[in-house]
Amino acid sequence: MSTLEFIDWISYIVGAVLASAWGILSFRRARKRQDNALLFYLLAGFYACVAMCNTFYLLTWIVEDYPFVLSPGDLSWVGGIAFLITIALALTDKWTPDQQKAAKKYRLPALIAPAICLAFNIAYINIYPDIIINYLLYGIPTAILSYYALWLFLTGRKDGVQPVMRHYHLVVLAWVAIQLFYDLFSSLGLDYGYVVHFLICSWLLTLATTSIYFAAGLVTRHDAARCSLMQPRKGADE
Amino acid sequence: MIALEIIFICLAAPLLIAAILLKGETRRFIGFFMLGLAACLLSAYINSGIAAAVSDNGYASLTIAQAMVQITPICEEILKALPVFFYVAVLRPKRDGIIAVSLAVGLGFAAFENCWYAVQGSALDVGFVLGRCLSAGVMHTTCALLLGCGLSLIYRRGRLAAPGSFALLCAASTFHAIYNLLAAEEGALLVVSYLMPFTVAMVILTFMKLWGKDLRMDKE
Repeated sequence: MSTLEFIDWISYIVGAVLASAWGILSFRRARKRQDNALLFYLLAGFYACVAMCNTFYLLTWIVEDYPFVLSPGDLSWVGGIAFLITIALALTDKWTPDQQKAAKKYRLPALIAPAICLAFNIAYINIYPDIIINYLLYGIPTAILSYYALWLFLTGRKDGVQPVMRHYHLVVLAWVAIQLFYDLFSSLGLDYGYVVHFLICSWLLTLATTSIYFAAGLVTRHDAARCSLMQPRKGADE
Repeated sequence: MIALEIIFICLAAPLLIAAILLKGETRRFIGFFMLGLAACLLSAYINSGIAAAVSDNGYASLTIAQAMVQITPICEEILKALPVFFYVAVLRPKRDGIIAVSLAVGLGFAAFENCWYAVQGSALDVGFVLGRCLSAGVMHTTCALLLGCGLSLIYRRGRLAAPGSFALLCAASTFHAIYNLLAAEEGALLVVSYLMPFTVAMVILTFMKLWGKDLRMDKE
């Protein structure tokens, strides 16, 4: 492992651990205000999973010389995606019937996102058929997450159903897209060198991962009416 | 009958008597402690099966040591989580009840595993056995605490419960896997593996002690 790779791993782990700790602190503050607490709790879980995934990979790289292809580290990454899916479900959990009706028409266009995700993953499986389980493990949860992110982004933008969250969903979509391109670079096996692979792809993923927290924080600051993200927005159906 | 079953019977028999005599929360705690013992016994069978499969035909190109790092944590965490999931899904308990039940399962699992280490201890270095018993015991309890605390915050939120529980299970499995990975090494990494569960447990306990009242998602 080169020094640059090591710095890359460490920066990702440290960033995720700090974000997780900050998420817990935000959770406590939000809980005191009776506002948005669950969002920060789930975000803290997401960052903890990301940190543990990368810690496991780094340790296996140190101990075994090369990380396992399919390992509990992958499961932790999937767990992180599951936390983001839980956030998306929490956002739609207490919608009024009118909000549900308004959001329903964007379900079909939102299917574009999982279709693209699955197309990418089918391409990866064609390149590396030996690790099909790995791509299925990543591909299916990512497709579900991208569906919810695009659906809620479209819904928030057009109908005013929780419009403050559209920044957050946009960042989640960007995170998914960067992951797909990161996998694409890895799967093609071309020698792009450290600059493209580690400085651009990896640090872009680090940036996107960190941005999810700031996007959620932005929501809280914009939430001037103190409409809880976990509650239906007052007056949205009027 | 092998040593594992004898240990299980020796531990479970007095607890069973106590569970019959006692009532309420104490009975529930003892009952789930026994389920933790049973989960550890079951995981021992499964791990033995995995080890046999690996040593026989090199399953999935893994060595036994790698299988213990990759497969065992997932298997053990699933078996530990099943009684808790059952309790949450069927009995719809209060928040504190979930944490207590999850801890009971974790403690039962840790107690059985420690007994097994102690039985093997005569053939091994006492310091190693003591360190392993302490750290593995705390690690199992910490994983159970993580699961219980997380579940207690999301279990009443309908559709959130399933993906949230899965995510928590993934997190607990990875924490366990990191511990197993380090514990299989020697020197500094082994010391880190011993210290890691204590550190995380202290952080969680401090967090709960300081802010416990602020963290209630549902007012009861």
